[in-house]
Amino acid sequence: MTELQGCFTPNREDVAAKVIDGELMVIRLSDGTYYSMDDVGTRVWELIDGGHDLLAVIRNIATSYAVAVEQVASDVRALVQELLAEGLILPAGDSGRPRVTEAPTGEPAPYQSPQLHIYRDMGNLLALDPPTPGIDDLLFKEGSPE
Amino acid sequence: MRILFWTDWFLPSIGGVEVFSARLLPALARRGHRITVVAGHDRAGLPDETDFLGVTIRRFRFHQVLAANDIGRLAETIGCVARLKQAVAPEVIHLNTLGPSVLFQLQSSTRRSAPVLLTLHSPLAAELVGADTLYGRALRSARWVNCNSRALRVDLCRHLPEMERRSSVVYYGMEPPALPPVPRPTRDPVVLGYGRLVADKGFDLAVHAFAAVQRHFPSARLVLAGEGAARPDLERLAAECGLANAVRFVGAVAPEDVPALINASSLVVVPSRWDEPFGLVALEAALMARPVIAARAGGLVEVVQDGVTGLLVDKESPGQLAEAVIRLLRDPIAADRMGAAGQNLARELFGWERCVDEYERLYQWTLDGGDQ
Repeated sequence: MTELQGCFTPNREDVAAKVIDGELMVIRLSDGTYYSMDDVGTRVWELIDGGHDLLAVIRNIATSYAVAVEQVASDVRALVQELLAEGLILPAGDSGRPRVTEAPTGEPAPYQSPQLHIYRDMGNLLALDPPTPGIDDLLFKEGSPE
Repeated sequence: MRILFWTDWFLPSIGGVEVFSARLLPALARRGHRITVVAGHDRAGLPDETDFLGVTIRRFRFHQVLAANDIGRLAETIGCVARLKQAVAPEVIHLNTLGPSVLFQLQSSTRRSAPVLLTLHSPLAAELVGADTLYGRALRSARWVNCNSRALRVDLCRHLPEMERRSSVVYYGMEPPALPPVPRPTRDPVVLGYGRLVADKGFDLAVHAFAAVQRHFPSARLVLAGEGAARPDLERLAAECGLANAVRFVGAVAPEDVPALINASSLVVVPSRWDEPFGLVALEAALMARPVIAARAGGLVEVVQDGVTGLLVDKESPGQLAEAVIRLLRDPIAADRMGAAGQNLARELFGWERCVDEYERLYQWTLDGGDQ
C-alpha cells in the first residue's frame, strides 16, 4: 500500500464539524453518525483543515507535544486512514500556501495517541420512542408535595 | 455530597427510572446531599429550571438538538452543560440512562471530570455495546456500574466481561404504602395483572390461562389494569375465549391508587415474556401481602421466591400459569402464607431506607475510586 501523504480536506458536503471546549465534534450528515476527538486528534483536524500536508501535520504535532516524530507519524497516519474510511476527509490537491493555524494557547495536554470516538448508535437511540405522556397532569404538579 | 444526577427524562414523564428518581432524590436531599438533576425537555411548557422537593431540576433540549444535526446548537448546549457542571462542581455524576443525551455528558466532561456512577436500569442491546457506540463508551468510561438486579449484572458481564470487577447490584427499594393490606378475597377470587398493556408483558398468556381457571372457579375474575397498544388485541382475545365478562379492563391506574387495586385482588400475576430488569409490580404486590405468580424472566426470579412468596412458571406457558393460579385459589392458607412471607421479604430485602443507604455508599465508593 502506498504510504499516505499530501493534503486532505474535510468532506464539507457531508460533514459538520466544530471544536467545542477543546474537543472536535463531527456529524456525518448523510446518516447522523456522530464522532468526537480529544486533544491531539482535534489539533490534527485543525491542521488538515488549515491546508497543511501530512508531513507538516506530523512535524507540528511532534514539536508541540515534544514527542518522537516516528510515533506521531504512525499515530497520525492511522487516524487519517480512519478519517478517510469514515468519509470525514478527502484527499486534496496542493492547496497552495497553508493558512496559519493558530496553536492552542497555554501548555498542551500530555501527548496521547489520537483516537476517533464513533457513535454509530446515535440514529437508533434517537429513533427510540419518547417517554409516554399522559398521566402527568393527573399525578404531579412540580414543586408540590408528594 | 454534590451529585449530578443524569437522566433522559424526569417527572412529569412517567416510567421506571422517573418513579425511582422521584423517590430517591428527595430522600438524598433530606439527608443533606446537594442534588442537581440534568434531564431532557420532552414537551413544551416545562421550565428550564425548577425545584422538586429540594432537588434542582435542569432541563435541556438534548433530543431536539441531536435530531436537528445542528452542530452550532450542539456546541451551544454542550457549553451550557459544561457551565452547569462548573457551577455545581459535582463530586459524583450519576448516569441513569444510556440514551442519546449521554453524548452531552461525555463531551462536557473532558477537562472537569467527576467520577461517573452508571446505574443500569434495563438490559443492554447487544449490538449497542461495541466500542464504536455511545452506549459502549459510556459504560467503559464509568468508574462504577450498578445494576438493579443480579440478572442485569449477569447480562452486563456477558457483554462486557471486564465489568465483573467494576459492577455491583443494589436493588430498587420501596416504602410500604400508607394503605394497609386487607385480607385477600377468596369467595369471588380476583386475579390481577397490571402494567403497560404491551406484548412483552404477556397478558395474553394470562387470558389464555384464565380460560382454564374459570372452569374450576366460575366466579373468578381476571382484572387487567394499565393501557397500551395491545389492549384491543387482549379485549378481542378475551371475547374469543368466551371470557368477555370474566376479564375486566380497568385502564390506567395512578401510582397512588395501586395499593387499593392490589388490595382488591386475591393474587397477582406477572407473566412477562421479556426479561424484566427488576419486577417492581411483584414488589408492590408483595408489600400488600399478595402471593405473586411470575414468569422466570430476568429479575423476577429475585423478587419472587418460588414456593415461598409465590410461584414461578416458565415463560410463554399458559398451562403452567393456569395450574399455579388454580393451586393457590384451591389452597388459600398457603396463599396467605406466601403473601405474608412476600411482605416480610419486601420489607427486609427491598426496604426503602436500605436502598437509600446503599446508594449513599455507592456514591462514596465511586468518589473514593471504586476498585482503582
